[in-house]
Amino acid sequence: MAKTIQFRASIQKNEARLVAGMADERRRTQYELYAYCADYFWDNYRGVFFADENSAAEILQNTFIAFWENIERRKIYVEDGIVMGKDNKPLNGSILTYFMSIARNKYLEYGREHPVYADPETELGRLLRAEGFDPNEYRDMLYDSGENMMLEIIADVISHMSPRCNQILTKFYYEEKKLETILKEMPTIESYDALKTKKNKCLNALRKSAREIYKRKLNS
Amino acid sequence: MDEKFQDRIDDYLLNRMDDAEKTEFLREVEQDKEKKEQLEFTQNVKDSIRSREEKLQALAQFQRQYKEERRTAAHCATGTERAVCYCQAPKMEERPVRSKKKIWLWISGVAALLVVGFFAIKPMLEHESSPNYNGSPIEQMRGGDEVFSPAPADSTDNDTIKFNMKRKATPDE
Repeated sequence: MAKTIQFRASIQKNEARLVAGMADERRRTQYELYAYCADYFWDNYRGVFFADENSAAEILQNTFIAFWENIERRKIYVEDGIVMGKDNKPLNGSILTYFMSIARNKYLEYGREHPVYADPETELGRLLRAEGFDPNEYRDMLYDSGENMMLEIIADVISHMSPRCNQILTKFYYEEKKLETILKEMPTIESYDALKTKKNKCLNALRKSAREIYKRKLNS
Repeated sequence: MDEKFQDRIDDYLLNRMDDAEKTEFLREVEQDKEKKEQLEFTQNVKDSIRSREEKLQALAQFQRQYKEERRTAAHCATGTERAVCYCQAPKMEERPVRSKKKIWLWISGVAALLVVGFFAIKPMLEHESSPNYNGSPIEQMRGGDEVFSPAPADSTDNDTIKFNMKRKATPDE
């Protein structure tokens, strides 16, 4: 019994070190945390949800980004060597359990976005139906109330943008390229005006989704 | 969404405005709640995209490293041929072992040759020094050099038959 407590304490200590390292942007520790979560994910995801390896890899990636952002926004953080969670209370269980709960939500979202997965004739479709999956319910599980709520919602909506919107907005806002330059890099778009319209449509779609989620969250 | 105002928001966020334009823009935003909300939203989009892109870049590196390490670990655990090239450590350890083996092989080979050579040469040396030595085995087979030497001239002083008979008659022998 004493040995079990000691073993658990060493795990908690290690997890606290990894979370603190992630928050301090120590690249080596960030990789350590990634490897720690990825090992657990690949060993256990089949027990949590049904997905082929490529889909699972995509879910892992989005899960880790969400996990990382949660650390950055101090949704989980380290205090006196203990990993703290919601309401400034110590995290219930391991950070791996927390990680897998994000993964499960991401998986549900993935199923909603990929019609093949949500097809009621497929194994996953049957599972989702049996679970009574409701995307609105899922969204509510993701966001905490607080001043960063809108930012969290936007970050999540961005991760589910169409590849074309993602490409245009990334080039425009992250790479800070002018529309003329983007037009040269995307020959499938006919004109400058067409590109500008597309960019604004993507922004509008993002805004609409984010607002809807935000309103629903406030009402709830 | 006011598209014209969106262009100005973009110019502001991407630092494409001079100071006077910035001041004018911020004054305008402060007076209009909707414009302020539009600016905040675009700012959040920009920040979120930047954060996600930076993480994706770091993740790409993590994923490469992770794959590499797991391949190495898989080879070390299974020793499969497919993964040999990913695991350098065992090869590094094998090298000195191989060279040591070679050295010992050479040493024992040379020692074995010396021992065999010694036992082969020793009886020959002993045989040559013995009183019954009649020349080497080859010499004995062909009968020695006398066969080819000219026959001694027959005379009373040099009668070989008589000499041999005399020697036989010696009582000491």
